Amino acid sequence: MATETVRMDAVKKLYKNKRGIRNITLDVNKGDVLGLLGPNGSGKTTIMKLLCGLIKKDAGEVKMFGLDAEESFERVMRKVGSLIEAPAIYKKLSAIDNLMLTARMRGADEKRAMQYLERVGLLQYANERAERFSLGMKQRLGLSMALVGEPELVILDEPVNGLDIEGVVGVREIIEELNKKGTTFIISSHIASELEKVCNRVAVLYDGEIAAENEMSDIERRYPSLEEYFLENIRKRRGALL
Amino acid sequence: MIALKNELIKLFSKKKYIVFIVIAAAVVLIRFLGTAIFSGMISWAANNGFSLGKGMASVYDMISFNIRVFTPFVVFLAVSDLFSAEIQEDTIKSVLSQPVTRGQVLAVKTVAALIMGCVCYFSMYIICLIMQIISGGGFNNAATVLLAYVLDIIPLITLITMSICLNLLIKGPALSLLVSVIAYLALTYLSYYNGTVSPFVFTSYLEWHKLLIGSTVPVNVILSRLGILAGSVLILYSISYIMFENTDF
Ligand SMILES: Nc1ncnc2c1ncn2[C@@H]1O[C@H](COP(=O)(O)OP(=O)(O)OP(=O)(O)O)[C@@H](O)[C@H]1O
Ligand SMILES: [Mg+2]
Repeated sequence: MATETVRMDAVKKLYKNKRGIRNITLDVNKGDVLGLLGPNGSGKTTIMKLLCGLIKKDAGEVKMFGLDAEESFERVMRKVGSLIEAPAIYKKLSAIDNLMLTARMRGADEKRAMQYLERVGLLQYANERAERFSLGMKQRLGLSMALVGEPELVILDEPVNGLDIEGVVGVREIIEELNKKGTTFIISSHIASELEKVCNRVAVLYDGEIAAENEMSDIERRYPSLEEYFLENIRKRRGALL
Repeated sequence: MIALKNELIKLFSKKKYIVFIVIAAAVVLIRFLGTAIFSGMISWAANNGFSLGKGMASVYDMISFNIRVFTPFVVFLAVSDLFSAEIQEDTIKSVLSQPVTRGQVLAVKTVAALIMGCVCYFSMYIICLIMQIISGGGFNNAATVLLAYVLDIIPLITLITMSICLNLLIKGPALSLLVSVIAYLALTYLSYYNGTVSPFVFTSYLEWHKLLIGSTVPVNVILSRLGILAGSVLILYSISYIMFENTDF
């Protein structure tokens, strides 16, 4: 019985402009909260899109829950909830109707959908059309879409983007609570201090490759902060490339 | 099935489709009133007194307009909403990261567009039938015309797959819609004015009920036309499938 939720082995994906990710080998175990930290364009979103089947890899192997991610796509995706880049929201539909699109596909009823709207603080706007939502409200709605299916693995690409202070704290609390129940997370962020609080492992990406990877506890022991760890590894890489 | 429900909810949340059907209904009504007033004046002049002429509206009205103009346009619009618009607005990613394969997504979206086409067909049918009943025509030919619409669902599928194919090739909903319309006009032109190619162009058979109803066309002719329609669907759908399956979103 494999405990690995995700296993990426020498995965390569280059877009037409030859940028993308190369040689990504990454394991995520059940119950992990893995943080992806990297400069703009380093490949965080690309990794996440690959895990959600939005793009196809050029080479390597991706296993999720012990299954080939492409061959067993349906079975795998039943256990994966995601919020990638800007949330996918239909402007003409209300918050609850938007959420129900995802909920329905994952066997969740309207009652459960309402619970998740409440969870992200949107209950009072449930019947309002999403076109009138602010950036942070859309982000909250996107978050509820990732969570409503109660998946085993949640992939969040910059989840606190656009959120107010309460929202940021709220997201952290949700992650902590679900993680206690065994949910695995992969989270990207530009805010090192935010990842530091929730992650138990961090991978630093640079130019489409993994520059460093370590347990959060080890990083805490050896560096003053995650930010320092990140900067040191990025500079090392940059130096090596010059 | 749930995925299909989702696509239909998204499609019908857009008011423009209701507006189009209402406009089409209004056209039928204006036409009917126009004829009624005109013939009413004639009968007035002839001193026969005013009467709402019997048979001034028929369920046959607008069938060509509906099948050749109205429904194709609405269907092209629906396809551009289902494909290009979702790709451009990046909402497609939430459709694709559900537990359904891309093949299923493509199939479900195709069926959703077809349902929109059928809604056009049959709402026009019902409106025209009501007009006929009002003008005293009763249920004359109601079954025949219904059969005609049902038969013409098959060529409608070819139009939909053509448009899907173009939507996957061309970026942006407006451009995709425009190119679909232009391609449709071009093919229609060929099917009218170019005798050598017209038998092989599916737009020649959009109203193929004309061949099937009320005339005795040999079975082999029907089969060869069905072959052209089905073959076109097969080719266009396969191309769409390959493109949809291999695109990065
Ligand atoms: N659709 C695309 N076509 C071509 N190149 C792309 C595409 N998407 C991403 N890239 C390139 O791939 C590389 C990785 O992009 P990616 O979006 O994964 O970065 P990221 O780490 O998420 O960045 P950010 O922090 O800005 O979100 C970048 O160089 C980017 O330019
Ligand atoms: Mg990104």
